[in-house]
Amino acid sequence: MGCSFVLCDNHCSFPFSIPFLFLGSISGILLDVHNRSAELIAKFLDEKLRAGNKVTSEEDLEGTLEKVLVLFRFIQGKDVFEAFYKKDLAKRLLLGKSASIDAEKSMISKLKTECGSQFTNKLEGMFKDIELSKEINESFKQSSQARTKLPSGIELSVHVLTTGYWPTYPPMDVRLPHELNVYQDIFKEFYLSKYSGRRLMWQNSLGHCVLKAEFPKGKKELAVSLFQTVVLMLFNDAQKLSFQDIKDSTGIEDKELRRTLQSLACGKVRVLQKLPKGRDVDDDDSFVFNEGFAAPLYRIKVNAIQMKETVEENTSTTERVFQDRQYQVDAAIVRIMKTRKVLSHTLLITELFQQLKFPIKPADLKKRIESLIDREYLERDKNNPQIYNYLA
Amino acid sequence: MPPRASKRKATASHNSSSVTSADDSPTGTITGLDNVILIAPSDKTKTKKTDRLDTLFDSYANCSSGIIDPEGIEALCSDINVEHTDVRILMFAWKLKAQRQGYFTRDEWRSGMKALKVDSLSKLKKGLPELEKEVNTPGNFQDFYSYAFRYCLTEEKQKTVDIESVCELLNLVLGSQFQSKIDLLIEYLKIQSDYKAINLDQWMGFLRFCKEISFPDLENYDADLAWPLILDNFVDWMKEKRC
Repeated sequence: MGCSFVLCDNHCSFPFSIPFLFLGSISGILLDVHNRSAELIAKFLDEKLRAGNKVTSEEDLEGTLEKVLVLFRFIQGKDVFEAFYKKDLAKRLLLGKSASIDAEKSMISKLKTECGSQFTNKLEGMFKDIELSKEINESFKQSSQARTKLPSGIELSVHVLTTGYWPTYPPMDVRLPHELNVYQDIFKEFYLSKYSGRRLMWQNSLGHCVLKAEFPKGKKELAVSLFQTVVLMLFNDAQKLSFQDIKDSTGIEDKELRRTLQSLACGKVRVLQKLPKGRDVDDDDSFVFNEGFAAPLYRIKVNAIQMKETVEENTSTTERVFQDRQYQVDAAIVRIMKTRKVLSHTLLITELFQQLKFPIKPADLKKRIESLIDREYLERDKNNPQIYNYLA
Repeated sequence: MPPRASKRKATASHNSSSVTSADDSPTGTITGLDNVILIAPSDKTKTKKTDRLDTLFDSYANCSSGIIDPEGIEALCSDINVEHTDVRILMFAWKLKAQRQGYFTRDEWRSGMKALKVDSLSKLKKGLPELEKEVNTPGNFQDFYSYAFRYCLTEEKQKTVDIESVCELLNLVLGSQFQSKIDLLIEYLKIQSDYKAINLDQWMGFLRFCKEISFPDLENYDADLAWPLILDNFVDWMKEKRC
């Protein structure tokens, strides 16, 4: 008996339990209203694979992964899933948030069996980078650069990522305090001495630090993001700073800065105080070091925001996938026309549907065809407007 | 307007050759006869005609550039009592194969007027209905229609024409033949926001649409065929409008 069901976007309580009620007899089609099932399934997996999740035993996790795979088969547009899965996996690996590396690897091999190695090559590449980075960090610690130049008491560890395996991160400007720049340079010197001819680009949005902070009520260690670090270190030299001051000194982009300050002054853990009080950061706000800060634990995590995804992140991930699809369509059209030289519109559309692995509307195919006519890759036949000619 | 007869004085009935430089032989110096025109008897009538055309051209041409510019065209139009925005002027440009909107070169003028078989303003004016008929023959109309669009591509490498101008042009060239269809198409073009300008491919599609698709039911329109997307959207809009 077949059934078909509709996935809602996350305003309903879909995400995590409903699908499994139907798993006994699925032979329907996932009707993807708003194209979001791929994204939601990736999000579900992220929750399960993250440290601190509610699933307890390894067996249970395995079972859950198997079930998700069944749903995965029905996703049209697996490239959207891949983009989100990759983005979330990257975060888990870089922030050390995986519940179990074995579970991670198990999921990858399931996806590999399902979709072939092309699908999982990059994901596997990410794991390789993590392993390799461990070795690099070990050598770094022993290196002359680290031993002579790095001040004692500073522990620097670096993940070296191969571009292409990892998601593309938008460059995020920030004016690092002098010391941090120095540490980065020390590592760079070491790395380039071992691997010459490579270009290193620092991804500041992914960095995180542990700061030792002295509060009147006790010393603490704060696990913070690099951006949070940069902001907090300003308060080593100043008691009170306005939003504008902080913006000018750090050079952090406006929205990102507001998020960062919110996480330091408006959440559960308030290392800074915002004046006036409130949830949102406004242009006229000022910030002071929170003299009265107290907490039961010695080590406090304040960088939960790095794990959280922003709406912008999700939108740009989806957009990138759609942009990529556009290139694939263009390439397919040119490839087909180059071979056939002359082809009718309906036959071209049929061929495209056969070749393209993601869902696409005929109207979008028409758009790409018209764009290629405009760019003079093809033309409409002068005698029969239903036919396209390839223009060499 | 007096012809340039005075300049033709230097015709020689016996073998002549143009003499232009001064000869410093002591016995009879010829001090430069400029603009000496060699005339062979049989070419008299042709040259007369070319002259008439040239004269006419000169009366509208800009002295410094030697080309008829927009001002000249406006003057020409008022002299033959036709609005310069009239479609017949566009047809005239088409006949002249004018390359640049708002300008006629001497060569374009000569060949165009000759093709029209006219050499005076009055003859031109009388020849306009004939020109219209000629343009409207199926063989020529498609070419004229395409020319009308390309004539608007004034900048180098320009490939599209803005919506406002396209609407005016559609009305001008297709309004008489397909008034109701064009009115609706223009209405749609003005309110849609997918396209801010139209390219030649879409432009040609509009003509095909008017010729082939039944109105106002649009029954024989098939979006799965190779119609430009803008027309698919127009048809959707029409269908929604009806409901």
